[in-house]
Amino acid sequence: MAGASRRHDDIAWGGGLLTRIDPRVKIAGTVLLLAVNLYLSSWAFSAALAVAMLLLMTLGHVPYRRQLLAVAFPAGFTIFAVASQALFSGEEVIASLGPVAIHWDGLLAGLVIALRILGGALVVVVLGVSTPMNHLALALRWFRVPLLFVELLQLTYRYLFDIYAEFTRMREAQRVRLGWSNRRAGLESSRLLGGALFVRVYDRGLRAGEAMRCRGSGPVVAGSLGRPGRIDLVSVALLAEFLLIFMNI
Amino acid sequence: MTAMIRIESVSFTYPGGVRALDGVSLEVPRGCFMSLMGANGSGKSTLLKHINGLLLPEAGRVSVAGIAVGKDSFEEVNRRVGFVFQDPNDQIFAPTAREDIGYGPVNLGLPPEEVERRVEEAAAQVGIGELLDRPIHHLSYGQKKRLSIAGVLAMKPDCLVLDEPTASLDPMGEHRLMRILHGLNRNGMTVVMATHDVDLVPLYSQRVCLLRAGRVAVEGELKQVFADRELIERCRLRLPRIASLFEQLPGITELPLTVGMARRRLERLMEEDGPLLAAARTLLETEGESH
Amino acid sequence: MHIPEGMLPAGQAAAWYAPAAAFVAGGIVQVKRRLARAAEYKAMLGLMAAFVFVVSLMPVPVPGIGTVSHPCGTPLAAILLGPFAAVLVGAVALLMQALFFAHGGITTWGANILSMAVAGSFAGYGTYVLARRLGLGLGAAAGLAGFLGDLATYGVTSLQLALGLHGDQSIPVVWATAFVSFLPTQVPLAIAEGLFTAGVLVFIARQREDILKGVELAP
Ligand SMILES: Nc1ncnc2c1ncn2[C@@H]1O[C@H](COP(=O)(O)OP(=O)(O)O)[C@@H](O)[C@H]1O
Ligand SMILES: [Mg+2]
Repeated sequence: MAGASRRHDDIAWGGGLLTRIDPRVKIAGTVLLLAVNLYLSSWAFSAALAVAMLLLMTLGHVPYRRQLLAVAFPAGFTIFAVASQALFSGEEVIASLGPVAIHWDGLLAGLVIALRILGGALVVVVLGVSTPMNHLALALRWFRVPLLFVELLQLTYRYLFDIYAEFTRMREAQRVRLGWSNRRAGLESSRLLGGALFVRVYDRGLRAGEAMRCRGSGPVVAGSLGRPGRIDLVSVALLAEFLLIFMNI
Repeated sequence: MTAMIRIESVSFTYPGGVRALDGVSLEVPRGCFMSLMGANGSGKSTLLKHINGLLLPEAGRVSVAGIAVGKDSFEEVNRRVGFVFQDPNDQIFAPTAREDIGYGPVNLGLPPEEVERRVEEAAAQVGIGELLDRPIHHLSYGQKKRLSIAGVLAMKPDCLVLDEPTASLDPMGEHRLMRILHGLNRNGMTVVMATHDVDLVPLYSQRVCLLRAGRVAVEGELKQVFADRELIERCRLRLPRIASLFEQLPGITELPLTVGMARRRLERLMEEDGPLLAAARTLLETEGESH
Repeated sequence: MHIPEGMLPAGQAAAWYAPAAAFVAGGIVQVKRRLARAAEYKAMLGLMAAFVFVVSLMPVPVPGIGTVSHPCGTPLAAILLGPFAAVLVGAVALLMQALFFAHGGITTWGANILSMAVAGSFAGYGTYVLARRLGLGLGAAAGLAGFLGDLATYGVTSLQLALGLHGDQSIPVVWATAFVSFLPTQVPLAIAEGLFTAGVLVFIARQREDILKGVELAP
């Protein structure tokens, strides 16, 4: 989380152009685009999706260099997708080594999956950098996602940064006493760190629970979504336009 | 003699874009007790973390006992520097005090008997010898604070670096802790401590470094730094209370910074007789006006 | 093993949602029953999900093999909270990882819940309970639970990949291929998970026995 996600999430809170779009529109749009991305499974659509998302982030002044790094994370999977397709499907052999053969058409199919991953992952990134957690929670409630689940999402988000900061400080305190200077020490330190962190999280859970009871244990989702505005109409129109173009070709 | 800690034009910016240090240079002589002062957010913690390499400068250099602080020297540097975090809860993670103090020595690769010897010794140094086998959650905050110091003393460092060691301690706990640090310092330990407690600093520090918005506002001997009230206030700190009291008296040039200094000054004034009466009169007059 | 967004074909991505939703619903029902007695338990669960999230960022060195892995934390959560609550906690953590890091995805969320949260929790929990019944100590049982919980996750993930990507080949062959090709990263991970789970549980048992009694389980 350290760098990447903090930035991810900070951008969302930044209140830029993309943040101002109604979260319901963003969620529905995300699901729709991801579904079409899988359903069409065409290199043209996935590539266009990736370009469109990069454009969107440029328009929204999202500094997306880090986000691209995040997308590079599934590189191992992407390679596996391409390799497995090239090896396991297709007819047209371009190279072979004993029983193992690389197929040209399989390779192309694998590249389509790679593009699908790229385009799809960028759509998720755009949702991530443009939607603060409380917007997301309200919108999920609007879509009838179970209250308990949404509450948990909110609570987890609330505590995540505190616990991460605590984790970092404790790990630093171990490092300065040379707790991570070799493998054996590191193993022992990870055990202590996990245990001590758990104990603190548990105690904090009890305290938070008490505080919650003192104030009535109500639902942890509050506020309301504004009425959709012009920016939402424009977003929906752009989305429809984008989909129409690709449905027709 | 040579400097224990040498910091040369260090700058540092946090990932979020906050420039926490801006060209800081500072030398801490061997055996010195130095207080690093500054308001909240002035960069004290950030600077301390540069001393033992928890943070690495984006520009500038740091060295400790002649060793350049860097990624590769982290272990060597941290054998020399005992770093005490602000919140002892962050630093204590073992189930009992004994295991926690032993954590560093074990990581140093010492044999069990030596670890045990160091644990006993360090615990005695901070006065928690009888608490060694208690679980941590039975200790008070002050005891945990002392335990966290024992944890680094057991590694036998050349210098101690402490981040706001007296924060959240009660007056007695604060006094006790400072006596411990003072004793260590008298036995040759270099001590650097971050704090904004202006009443405490003059009692123990030889040198003071004042930070303001990530820059060194002034660094020097205790009296020299506290002579400039305006500068201190610009750094969002204040004079010690006892100094403020004397400041209201006329004809006082060098302000006393501690109760002891003030008492000696009063005794001298009393011997001279005249000025004290005049001073008392002025004090009373100003009191009268303000009522 | 977060399967990234876009990796699985449409039909399968949707199909994995059904069992995942069933388990998450099971988790919600069970947690709600507990909430009826103590509404503040949800604060504890929120914190636990945050814990699982943070722990998944912790590097755990694997002795002898020379790599560093990140534990999933689901077997541990299952032992401490019970498997259904752990599924719920895991599902929350997975959605946040997808949104924050692009680890995993939205259409693959169902598949990932099934492999990481469901398989990891139930295999971990089942192993733990069984091992304890067989008389193993706390540490050994927890270590085994972490190890097998991780391998179960990995087995399900590679099955999902095989089903999605087998092309013209038979599924078992591709499954085996997927299993083997990620083996070098997954075995150290499972070892790290086992060591971590055992270490943390023993730590808690020694330092704070009350916690083991306070949470779902009494060993
Ligand atoms: N982890 C961090 N990320 C971003 N900014 C930080 C971080 N830690 C400190 N800062 C910022 O750096 C500046 C100096 O902080 P710090 O060194 O903690 O000050 P002090 O210890 O004197 O109170 C502050 O403006 C603070 O907000
Ligand atoms: Mg500080």
